[in-house]
Amino acid sequence: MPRRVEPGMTEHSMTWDETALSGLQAQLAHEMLGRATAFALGPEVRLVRGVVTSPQRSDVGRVVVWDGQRVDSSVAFDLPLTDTHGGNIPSGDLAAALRGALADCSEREVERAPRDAFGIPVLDASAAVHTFMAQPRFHLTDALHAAAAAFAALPEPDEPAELRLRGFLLLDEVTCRLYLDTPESEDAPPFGVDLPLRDEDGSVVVGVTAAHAALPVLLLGELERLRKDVHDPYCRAVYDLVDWLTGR
Amino acid sequence: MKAKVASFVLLGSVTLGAAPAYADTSGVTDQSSTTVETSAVDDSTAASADGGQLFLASDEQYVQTFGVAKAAQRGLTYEAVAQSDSVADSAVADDTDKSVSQADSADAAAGAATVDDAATSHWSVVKFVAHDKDGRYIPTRQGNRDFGWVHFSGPHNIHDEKVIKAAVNEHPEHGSTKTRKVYGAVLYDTLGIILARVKVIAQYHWETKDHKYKLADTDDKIGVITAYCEGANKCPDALNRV
Repeated sequence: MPRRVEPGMTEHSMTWDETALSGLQAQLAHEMLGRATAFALGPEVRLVRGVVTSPQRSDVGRVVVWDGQRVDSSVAFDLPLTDTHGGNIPSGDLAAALRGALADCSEREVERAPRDAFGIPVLDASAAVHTFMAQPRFHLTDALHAAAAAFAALPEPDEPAELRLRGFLLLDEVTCRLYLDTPESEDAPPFGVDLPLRDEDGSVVVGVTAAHAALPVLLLGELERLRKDVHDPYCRAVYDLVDWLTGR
Repeated sequence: MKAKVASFVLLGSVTLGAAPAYADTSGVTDQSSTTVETSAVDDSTAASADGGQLFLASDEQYVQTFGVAKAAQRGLTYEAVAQSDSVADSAVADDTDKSVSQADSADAAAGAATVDDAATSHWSVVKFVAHDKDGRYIPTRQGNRDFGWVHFSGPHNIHDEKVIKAAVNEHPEHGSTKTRKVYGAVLYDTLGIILARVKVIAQYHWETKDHKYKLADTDDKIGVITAYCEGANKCPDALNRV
C-alpha cells in the first residue's frame, strides 16, 4: 500500500532514518518508565491524581492519589522533602514510602483528616516516610524504575550527551538489563548493561548512582572486559556489571 | 612528553631480581622490563609489602617519572583534559576551610567503612578531602550502597584513603567533563612495574548526575562517586598497604 503524503509534506520528510527511529524508541522507553510502577495495594491500584506544593510548608510535597475512577476517592499525603540530617530524600524513596503510607492508612483516618480547598482529605505522612528511611523496603519494580530512570535523565545543558536509554527489561528477580546507546551509535542497535537489583542478602536495592557515573568512563575501554557471552536479539552486545558492582 | 619531575626523593632501596608475591595479583604487570628506574616521585607514597617495596602515585606523576612511552608500555596512558573550570586560589582557600570543618565533624564516625557506618552515618558526611592539581575540592563522603566510600571500599577493596588522595593529586584525566572528574593512580614496584591501576570518578557538582542525591549548599561538591581498579573486580590487597 503506497504511503500517503500530506499536502506540503515531501516524501523525504516522511522517511525516518535509523537515528530518528532510535529517538522515537528512546522516547517510548522514557514514557513507559512512568508505567513501570504503580501503587498496588493487593488487588487495588492507586494512581497519582496530582502533585502540588503544600501551601503551608515549602519543605513538604503533597501527592494526591485516587482509584482512577472516582475523584471523590482522592486522598492527599504530605511528604517531607528532606531527612532529619538535612539531606534531600530521593524522590524514588518518597514514592516507595508513600506506597507504605497508603497501605497503612485507614478509612477512619481519611474521614477525620482535614481537607484542602478542593475537599481532598490531607494526611501527614512524615512519620511514615522517616520510618521508611530508617528501614527501607522496596519492591523490585522500584529498583527497575530507578535503574532505568537514572539513564533516562537528561544531561545538564553544558554537559555532553553520553548515554541514552533505548529500552529496559527485568531479566529475572535479581537483575535488569538496560539498553543504551551513545550519540555516535544512534543508528546502530543498542548495547545491553546488566545491573543488580538485590544485594547479597536478597534485599531489593534501589539506585545506580555509581554505575550511572562510571559507565561513560568504563566505555573508554574497561567495559570490554565485562562483555557477557550471551545472545540477546534486542542488542548488539551485553556487558555484565553485576559482579563488578558487588565486588564478587 | 617525557617530563621528569624536578626533584626526586629516594624513598627506599631498589630490589633487584625479586619476584614479589603480589606480582600475580594484577593483569597489568610487565615482567619483561629489567631497567631500574628512579624508585619514586616526590610526593608519591611508599611502603614495603610482601618482601618488596611498593609505591603509589597519580597517573600524571607516574608518567612524569617514567615517561609516556614507558608508561604506555606498562599499560598506562595519561591525558590531561583541558578544563575551563580550574579553581582560583581564593576559592581553594574557601573550600579548604569548608573541608576541614566537615572532615572534623566526620572524624568521630571515621575509620574503616562498614555496614554499620551506613546505618549510623548520613551519606553526606565527609570522611576525608583532597584537592586536585587545579585546586578543586574533592571530598569523599560516607555515601551509601549507591555511591561514595560505603559503595566502593568493600566491593572494590579500597580501604585506605591514601589511595583516593594519591589519585586526585593530578589534573583530571580523559573522560572528565565539566561536572565529572576522572583521576587515576598506579601501584608500582621499585622497577616501575605497575601492579594496579586505580580510577577515581568524582562528581564536581552539588548533585549527583542522576539527580538522586543533592546538597543544600549549591557551592558544595558531591565528590568521589566511586573508585575501582582496572582489569579486576577487586583491587589487590597490596594497594591498601602502601
